[in-house]
Amino acid sequence: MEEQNSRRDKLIILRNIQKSYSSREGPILAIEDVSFEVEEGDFVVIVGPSGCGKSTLLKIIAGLLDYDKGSIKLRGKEISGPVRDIGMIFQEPALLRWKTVINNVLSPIELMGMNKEEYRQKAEELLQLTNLAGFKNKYPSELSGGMQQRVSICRSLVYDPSLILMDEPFGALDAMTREKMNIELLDIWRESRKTILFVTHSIPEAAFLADRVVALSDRPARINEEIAVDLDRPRKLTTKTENEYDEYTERLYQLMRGEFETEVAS
Amino acid sequence: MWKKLSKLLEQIYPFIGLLILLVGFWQILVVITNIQTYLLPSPLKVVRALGDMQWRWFYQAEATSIEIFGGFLLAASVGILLGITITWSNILRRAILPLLVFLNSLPKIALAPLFIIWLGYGIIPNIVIAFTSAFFPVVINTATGVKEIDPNLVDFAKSLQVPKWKRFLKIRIPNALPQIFAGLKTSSTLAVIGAIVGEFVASSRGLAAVIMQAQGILATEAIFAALVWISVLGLGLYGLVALTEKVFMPWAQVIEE
Repeated sequence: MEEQNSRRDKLIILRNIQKSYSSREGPILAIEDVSFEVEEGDFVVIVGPSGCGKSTLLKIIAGLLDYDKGSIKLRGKEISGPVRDIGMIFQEPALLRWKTVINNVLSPIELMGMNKEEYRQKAEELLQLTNLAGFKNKYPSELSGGMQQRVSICRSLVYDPSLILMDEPFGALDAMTREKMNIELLDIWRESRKTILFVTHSIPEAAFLADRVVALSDRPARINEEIAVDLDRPRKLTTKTENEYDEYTERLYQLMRGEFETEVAS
Repeated sequence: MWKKLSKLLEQIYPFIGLLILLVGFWQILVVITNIQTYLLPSPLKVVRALGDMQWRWFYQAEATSIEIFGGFLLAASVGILLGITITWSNILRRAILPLLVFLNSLPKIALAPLFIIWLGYGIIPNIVIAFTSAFFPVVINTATGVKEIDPNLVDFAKSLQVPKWKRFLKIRIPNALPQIFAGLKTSSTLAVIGAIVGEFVASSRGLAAVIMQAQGILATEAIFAALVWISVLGLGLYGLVALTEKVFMPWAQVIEE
């Protein structure tokens, strides 16, 4: 492959995705027309008001939902249905409560019918990376919400998918834990060199994490704008005190203002 | 070790205390009122009946336990399989579930004569009656447990292209274990009822058969003794199910502690 080139390859390309749900009052358009691209190694955040179809979009990319129109290409190949090269992290950790932490991390290997032992060392390394090494033999119910979500992140990294989709993964955590997890996630991202597509309705979170923010409109989802976030990396908590950071969040708030108003009106 | 023992003691001493109180009250009542033994035997007489081998307790309890355990094991295996089957396929569910509901609506005691006609006299029809009494909660609990699952868990498995049979085996069924065991516990007590009902309808052997014989000669203390035996078998089965649960679900204990 020619990934050595300085120009980075497109990992995934979405073109004119449209999706409607059927309901008793007839079809409801959830996603009107969404197109964007994610380059290899990028951290892209999709931001939009709640209920705008962000999660639907992510599920479509994961192959868990059908779509009506458009196309999705992963490394230039049209995909329909789930692909093992795409991992998914949900808002809830969605761990297997009957398995210990280490076995949860190894569960994708087991479910895919591969040899668990070959991946054990990798799983342990991932737990080390996320400061969970001491908890590998605990059950999920013995961990805090933030720790559970870290296990879920390890689980999505263990089988090495190129693209990781994250659906408001820290939405259920308290504000402090959430900030900590954001920083940790950036560390993991930097070390693992993954491509991440992250969905959130929090503008500060989006600006803090992203290389690029894709702002979606309220339902039916359209792309309002894409903003490249050019803050220095690695980003730290102090990044949030920089003027540039404020400028980005302000731009995003401006952009989403219309959406906030419609939400209040409804 | 000692700590565990003392903790256990702490758990059970209020019950033991109440039991002693009740039995003591019963004994005193019998002595004071001088009531006829055939109406209410004293606890001491019941204990003596328990030791009286003329009733052939072990021989009788053996029959009843085979009926209870046999019926329960059948109910557990058939129930779990049926519960999984009706969640696996909608068509099968629509076919099977109404039939199960209909069968469950029948009083099992009314079926007993049929089983005796078909299967003869003895332990086998009673196993079947225990089974029919016990299997329904296992089916329903298994089906609910397998069906009701965090949709994210299913999506997680689907995103790994895990085929449906494997999702059942590795995700849905382990996820259903708590409900399955809840069903098994209910069913264990129903199996006891079923076996006893079967023996009442027709049998020459078993603890309920003893009750019938004892009733005939007004040996009320033997009736009480048979009840003690039945509750021991019932508790034994329940305890066994609870123990199996602990072995199969070590992760659930963690929550209790």
